[in-house]
Amino acid sequence: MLEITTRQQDNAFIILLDGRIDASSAKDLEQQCLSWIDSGHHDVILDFSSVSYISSAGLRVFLLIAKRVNAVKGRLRLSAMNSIIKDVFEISGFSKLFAIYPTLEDALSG
Amino acid sequence: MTKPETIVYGTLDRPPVRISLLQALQQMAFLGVYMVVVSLFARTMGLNHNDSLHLISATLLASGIGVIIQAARFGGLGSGYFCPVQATSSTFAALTIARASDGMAAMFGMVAIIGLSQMVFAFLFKSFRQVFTVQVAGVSVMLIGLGLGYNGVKLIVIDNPGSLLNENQSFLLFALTLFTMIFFNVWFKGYLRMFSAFLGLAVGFTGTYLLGGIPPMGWQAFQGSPLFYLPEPLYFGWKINADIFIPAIITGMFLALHGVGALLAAQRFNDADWKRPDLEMVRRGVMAEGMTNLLNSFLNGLPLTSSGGAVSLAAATGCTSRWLAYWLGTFMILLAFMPKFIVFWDIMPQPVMGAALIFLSAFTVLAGLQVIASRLLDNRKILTVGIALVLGFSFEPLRPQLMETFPDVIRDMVFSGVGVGVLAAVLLSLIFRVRNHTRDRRAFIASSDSLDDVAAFIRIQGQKWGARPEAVGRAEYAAKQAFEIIAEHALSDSTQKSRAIELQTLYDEFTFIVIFYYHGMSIPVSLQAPSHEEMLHEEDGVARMAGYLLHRLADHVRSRGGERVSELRLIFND
Repeated sequence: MLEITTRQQDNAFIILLDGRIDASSAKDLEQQCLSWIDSGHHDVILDFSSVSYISSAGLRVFLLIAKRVNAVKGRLRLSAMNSIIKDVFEISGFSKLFAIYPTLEDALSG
Repeated sequence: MTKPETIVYGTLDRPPVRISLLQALQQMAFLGVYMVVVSLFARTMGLNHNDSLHLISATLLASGIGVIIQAARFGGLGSGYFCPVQATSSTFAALTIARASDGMAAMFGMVAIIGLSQMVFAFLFKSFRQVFTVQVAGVSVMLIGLGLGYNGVKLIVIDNPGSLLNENQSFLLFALTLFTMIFFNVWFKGYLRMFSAFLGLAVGFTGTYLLGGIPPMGWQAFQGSPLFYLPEPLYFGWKINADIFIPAIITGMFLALHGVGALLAAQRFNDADWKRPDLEMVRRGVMAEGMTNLLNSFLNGLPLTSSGGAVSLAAATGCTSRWLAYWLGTFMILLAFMPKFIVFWDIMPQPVMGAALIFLSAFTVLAGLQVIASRLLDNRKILTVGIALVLGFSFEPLRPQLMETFPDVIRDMVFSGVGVGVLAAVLLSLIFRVRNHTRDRRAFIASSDSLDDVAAFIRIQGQKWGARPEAVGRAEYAAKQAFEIIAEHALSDSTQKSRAIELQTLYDEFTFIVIFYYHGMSIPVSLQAPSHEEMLHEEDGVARMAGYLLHRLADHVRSRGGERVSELRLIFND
């Protein structure tokens, strides 16, 4: 189960994720995020503070999002990962791809 | 082993001579107070001045040899840690039985059997590694701390009939000593923190002198004692008879259990990354204690056991170096030949000593709590820790009633709160092994069971395993990833998806194994992550990334495809 809510703050489009990013929720997340980027939200912050799990299928979605944001020369930031999700980003080599901030506030001011 | 930030000179460090010297003096100031136990025993036994002088001198000489053997590590003896030994009043009951059976000589024959039984315990110790768990270690360390604190409070609240100080003066001395120790320990760094206990004792002693609290008898004893004394081995003799065997063996076992607690405290204080008891080190440590008591019996000293207080003092003041043990041992040996100086400790006032014990107990209790809280606990472990702590801690206040109620044999057995608590924890660990399955198996259906069901199963098994939360969290995460990738990629058709994925867990003290049995393709476990392009464009990119994550999250992974059943095995070490 993954709940996705959004809000606009300053110039950033914040996507708040709550739950698990697994194979069953990845497709929905992918479609929604790509459509928001296509509709003009090019400064995106994905907040992980309520994400408990991300699988390899979930990681793939972030590759797609990063690719789309790069294509429109936008900006993508990730925030507030718990330690094990941070580890997963580290060991998969994904942490080099993204700007990762400890908190949402840090991401907004970053 | 990672040296904690609070330790300036760890086990392997060699402090400068001046630091070693002052640290050894600080330790001597603390441990010397326990020589009062020997004086007390001599008085109880009605020994004359020369006999009691010999008893003190021989016990001190054996203590000096013991602290060096413990730190030195040679010939299968010694833990390598700073873990001094001290006399304890809890052996009086057994010694009294020996004396009644065959005079003073039998008492020292008993000390030899106590030492031998400690060595036998040490020899068998590792065979019982399944019951000497992290929780048992935590209980023993915590009870040592609680015991120190309890004795400290007792020294303050119980009247000392021989004291020249009134209640207000005693309280003032207690507060002054404790405040000095806390002041230098908390708000200072470097030397002043390192000698905070010594400074507290010195201020307390000076305060006692200024308030006129040093009894004239103390000065007389100081003047009357010779400057030099040569302890004579077998001064009282050495005899063994059948009556002393059982109480001696039981006493030896309890001293060994007490020693286990102090040695575990030493391990915990010296390693910021401490995970579980190093049983080989404990075995060598208890063996060294046994050998010390064996030698001690021929010197005709009182039985010795590890001093949890001295271990705590070393940790509190940031110096746990084994070189400190050599300095302290040398001091003790020298003082054994100079009884005039031993008298000083006879006149250390109760409130000053009480303050020191309370100060040291804080560090030890917290170390025990940290050990217990470092692992996930299921109901078995909660009950083991809880009951053992309650029994161990209640023992001291209830000792008089228990001593009256228990038959003689039991009375000899239960003489220390630490011993009672550790014995209870060991017995409960043994009892709770009944029907405590170290393996479990459950079937999950990919199409209907969720990752939460898998996670909940692993979490419950992890609590039974009693591992650190990080280790269980890692296992839970990897199991979810494994279940998901099997369900999404390994099961190719609806028949396979409708069949159960069997999840089996196996664990022991060190390892937790999660095995998936399923009807489908094997999962590719890769040593290298797929490239980003491969992940986006290749069909098996996500499965390969999953295999790589599993390889990194678990300590070992094995994936095997069979004709009928495939197997994915994840192994986690704690």
